[in-house]
Amino acid sequence: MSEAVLKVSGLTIAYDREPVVEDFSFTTYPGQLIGIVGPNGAGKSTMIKALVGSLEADLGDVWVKGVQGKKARKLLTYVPQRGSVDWDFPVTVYDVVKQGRYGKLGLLGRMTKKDREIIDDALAKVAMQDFAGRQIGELSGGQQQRVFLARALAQQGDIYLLDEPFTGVDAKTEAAIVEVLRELREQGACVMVVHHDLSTVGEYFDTVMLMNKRLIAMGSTAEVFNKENLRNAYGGKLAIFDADAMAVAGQGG
Amino acid sequence: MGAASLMTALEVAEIGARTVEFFSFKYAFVARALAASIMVGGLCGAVGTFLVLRRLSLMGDAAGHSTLPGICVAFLLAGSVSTLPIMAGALVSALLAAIVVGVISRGPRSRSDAAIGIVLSVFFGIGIVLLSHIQRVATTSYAGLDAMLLGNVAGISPEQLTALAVVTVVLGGATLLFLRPLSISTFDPSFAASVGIPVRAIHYALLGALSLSVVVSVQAVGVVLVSAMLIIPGASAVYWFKRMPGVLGTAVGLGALSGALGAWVSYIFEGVSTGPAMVLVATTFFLCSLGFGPRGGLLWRAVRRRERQRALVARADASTSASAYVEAGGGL
Repeated sequence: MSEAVLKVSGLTIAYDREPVVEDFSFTTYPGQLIGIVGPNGAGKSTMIKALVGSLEADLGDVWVKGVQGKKARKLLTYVPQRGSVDWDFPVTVYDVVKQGRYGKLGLLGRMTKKDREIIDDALAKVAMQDFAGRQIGELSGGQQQRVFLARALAQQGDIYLLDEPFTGVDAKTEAAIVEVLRELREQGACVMVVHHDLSTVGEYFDTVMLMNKRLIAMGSTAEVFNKENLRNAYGGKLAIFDADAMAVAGQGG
Repeated sequence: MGAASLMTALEVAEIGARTVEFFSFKYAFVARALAASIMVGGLCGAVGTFLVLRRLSLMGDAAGHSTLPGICVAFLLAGSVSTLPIMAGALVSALLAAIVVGVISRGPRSRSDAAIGIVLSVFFGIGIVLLSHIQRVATTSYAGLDAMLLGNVAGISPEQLTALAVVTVVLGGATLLFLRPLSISTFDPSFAASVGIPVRAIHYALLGALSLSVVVSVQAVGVVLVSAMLIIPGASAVYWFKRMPGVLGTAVGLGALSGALGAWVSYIFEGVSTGPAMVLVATTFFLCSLGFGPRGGLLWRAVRRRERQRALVARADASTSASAYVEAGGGL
């Protein structure tokens, strides 16, 4: 396999003494599309936040392409949960996507023609170019999520971490987002997605990470996404998913 | 009736004369008052916009009220209402209040709105106790201290005006310089942190800027109502623009205009404190924004709703006439 892009070792995060993410170690590679799966409260969002630096980890090391700390975080592209943002904020679709260029522009840098092209391309990729001048509060949930994705694309990184991009979006948007993520994988990016719908795991992701505070299993979907691992991750709560999730898991392996 | 209209005419003439006097800059203290009012309005409008957008409006209230004990202690220590000690006292007590709010809200069992409420009333209570004590042992020199409650812009000293100007220029410049990270970290703090914006530092810097702004503004608007000058312009501006530069510019403009008009009103009607006068003017602007602002104002909301209803009715009509046509045996 090619060189690791993300290497995490012993990552531990606690709120109020109670660990939410415990002793997490894993490695990811270019060209992986990874689904992060686990029950509510399993620490999926927390883990991602710690990786991108919006939350401080208590223990553990994170290497991105061999570097650590601030430099490492700048190599990661983060798409937060849609609900974490104030959608009444006075900002247009174009402005939000432009935020993706902040890392390159810095405090006072002026936008070049190239920046504008990158932003236009990103908007076009998620079919939001006609909405560039809209205030973001005027959009539907699916459109908002696509704008978030466009901002991530405008960052032009190759390691993506998306927190529940499919929550509260329409089927059309979900398909469009999956399309974009697959394209990124083809280009050699590593994409990690916090995902809730067990029935689509087999269809969307080539790699699965099952977690519940601790890492339960990680590997190719065919090998890892099985009944035993799901039960370990979800415990008794799995019964609800049994029928349809297992059908997919069965297909996989 | 004739007498009544004669009196009104006299009053109008009087108001006109005083207005001319106010804007003629004949008296240095009037010019100082006008300049100070404009700066206070603009400064509070800018800082307040970020408070409003971060849902920290109440923090402005706490910062204002909490300056009072510091002002009183500084007066007791210095023995007079000289500018520097009073400002230092106000700043120390505003920062202290911000820290206490931070400490209380960080704990697992507390909410920040409760923390703000507690700190605001405790600090203000202590301030009022100290103020009554000072009034009881009053020497002549305490005159001017009670103006800190509701504001008296005419009493602004050249030193206070200088301090206000410096803070306005510095904070105004910083806002323009850091507009990008300020906006991004206000809109989406987790994303901001992920691209290396120091979100927490910005939060503390904003609280520091708030304390400074309040300290240089209390002479003009008073500790009780400075929060209104912080909150109202920003809260009005969001009804007019969909982008940050427009909102910020409008808030600064409305704040400055409220300051100038408020100072004018309190000059014409003697005995009206400047703080309440400015706030009433600002409130008028807010009501206009709420009513007629194109971004969520009441009028526009009503118009949109009408349009929507009309479109729905039109669609329903079209489908009934179509089905009627089919039922009547119509073909293509």
